Amino acid sequence: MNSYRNSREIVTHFVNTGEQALNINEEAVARALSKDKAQQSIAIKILAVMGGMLASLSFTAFLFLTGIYDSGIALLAFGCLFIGAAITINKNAETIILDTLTISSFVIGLVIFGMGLQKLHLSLSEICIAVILISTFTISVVQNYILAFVAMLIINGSIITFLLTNKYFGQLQFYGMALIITTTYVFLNEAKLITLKAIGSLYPPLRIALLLSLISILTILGNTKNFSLPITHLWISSLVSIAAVLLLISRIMPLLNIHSQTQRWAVFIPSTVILSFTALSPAISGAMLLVLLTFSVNYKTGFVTSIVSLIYFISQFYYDLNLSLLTKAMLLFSSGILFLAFYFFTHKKLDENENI
Amino acid sequence: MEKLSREEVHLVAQNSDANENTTNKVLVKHVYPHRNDWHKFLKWLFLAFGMGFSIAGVLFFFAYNWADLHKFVKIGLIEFLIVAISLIMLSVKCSEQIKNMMLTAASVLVGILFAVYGQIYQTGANAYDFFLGWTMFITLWTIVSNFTPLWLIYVILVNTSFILYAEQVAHHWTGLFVLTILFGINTLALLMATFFKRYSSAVWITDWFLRILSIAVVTFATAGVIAGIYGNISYVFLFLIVSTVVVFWLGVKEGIATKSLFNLAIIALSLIAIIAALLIKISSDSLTFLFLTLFIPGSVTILIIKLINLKKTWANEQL
Repeated sequence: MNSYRNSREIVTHFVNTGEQALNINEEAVARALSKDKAQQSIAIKILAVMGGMLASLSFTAFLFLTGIYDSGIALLAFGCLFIGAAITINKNAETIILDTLTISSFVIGLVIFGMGLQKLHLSLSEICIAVILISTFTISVVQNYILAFVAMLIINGSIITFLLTNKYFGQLQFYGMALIITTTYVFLNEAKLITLKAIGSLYPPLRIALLLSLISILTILGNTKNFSLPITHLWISSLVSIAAVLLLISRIMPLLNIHSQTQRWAVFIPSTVILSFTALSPAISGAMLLVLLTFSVNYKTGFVTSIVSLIYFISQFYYDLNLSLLTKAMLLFSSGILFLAFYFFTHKKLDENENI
Repeated sequence: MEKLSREEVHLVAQNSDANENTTNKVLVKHVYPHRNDWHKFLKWLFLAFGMGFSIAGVLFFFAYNWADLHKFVKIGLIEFLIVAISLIMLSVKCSEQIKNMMLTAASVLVGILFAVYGQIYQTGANAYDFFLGWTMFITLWTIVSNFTPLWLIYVILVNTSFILYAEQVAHHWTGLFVLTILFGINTLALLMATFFKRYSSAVWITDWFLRILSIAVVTFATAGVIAGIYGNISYVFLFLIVSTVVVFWLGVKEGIATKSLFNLAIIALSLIAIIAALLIKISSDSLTFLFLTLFIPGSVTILIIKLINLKKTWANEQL
């Protein structure tokens, strides 16, 4: 069979590069490969998600039109039923065909469950905690791409809602820092994490969920004035991003043949100076980190997303900046000239390197 | 052999006893960027930042002085830019791609020129005639350039001009009529693009352009039919239904002929949405919504099974 021959080639190639004698379950590789091929179409993924959302909408309409909405216990029971159904379907038939069903069932279940808790007079933050617990449980039981991805985004949304409703504005920043550190760790330790049997298959959804969660919290931190959030000392989270960027730079340097001590300082000092300018905006330093991280692991979707968010954060920063247009013009123009100078400098240096 | 993809590396790593070091070696060799990639990345990053910030700085400088500039200077400045870009494009030797980008930039500047004109003479910046003028004046450039992004801008402009005309002048038009015309405009564009892609090598049409047009056609058809379902029966609605059936049929045939799931998926989704709207129109009590909750995931699931099977059949045919 075609897929089997392909998997043979892949395995041989892997072993040759890795230089380690391996015990490989080739059949599992071949099976997963043939399944992947059929599922890779983006059209099918979009269909699955759209179908799930439409179904959730119509079910919410159904709830509002019937009496079930009035009974807290009935809502809780229905919620558990739907979540349980999502998990069971997913465990027993691991195929994208049923993704629509499981996603709609899971989201509907959470919505009903939350409504039930509200009927029983629980506060919004208690509901958030319940949702976080259920989603975490679901992720640990189900190792499915889309469901795990949706659950992770729901967890992020619940954490942010929890912090905002309780007016824990300072903690919002700590959550942001925790996300920066986790994201950096996860991106830079791909090999370690995917070889862990327990969570290896969750790596791709984890990566994109972290990326999107970090961008969402950066959007909040970059808009504190517009959302009138009383968060002070924003530079603290910038410092974490900047430290992560510097760490990344030190890891890239050997790749670029920068070994001598003087050369290292010649890279570090200007980078630190430039990055320190972004201390005022955690959104920009965070997005800068994401651009470098996604490029360093060759993660294309993430790279494009990060570039777009970086451009957005920079324009937002200048738009909100309380300076006259003339000062802004001078600031922008001088930083432009600085970057062009870098361009010509690196261009020359790198070309020299290439000639050797 | 070519490089392993990230998914393949993950698969082997998870179905074997490969340790962290080995996996990392494979990732570094096959997936992660190498020295040359980093060189390119840094060059482009600095160039993009440098150009972007400098140009933004110049723009802000003009914005700062804008109110004090004489109107001839304002208009002259933009006209100068348009002429300068066109002259550079004609005189300098560079790749076709870069020339096309310059032409696209000049086309956008034409729009800015109209906006500035509108601001000075208080004609309003979103008047439909402004967009119509913009569309007309870049028509020749668009045809000459044969450049997909410019074509996309052109189609968006045609749509915008029409929507603004309907909003600002033709107040008596119904929503259904406007949607039907939009459906017609985009269908025409899609038919022409498909025709050129297939029968003429003179015009370069990329797949994503066709897809965006298909999405536009299907969206307007769906919105139009749903608007018709909730409105009164009229000749326009009958015409829209008949033409939607014909266009969808052509779309399905094209999808099967080119072995692409895209058309089939969006058309089927549109049909599901239309059926759902029809059911809600017939009866909007709780049972209908309960039925829809089962019907939508059910039909989407069946659709996905069919599409995957179709894809498998196509893959086998190619062997």
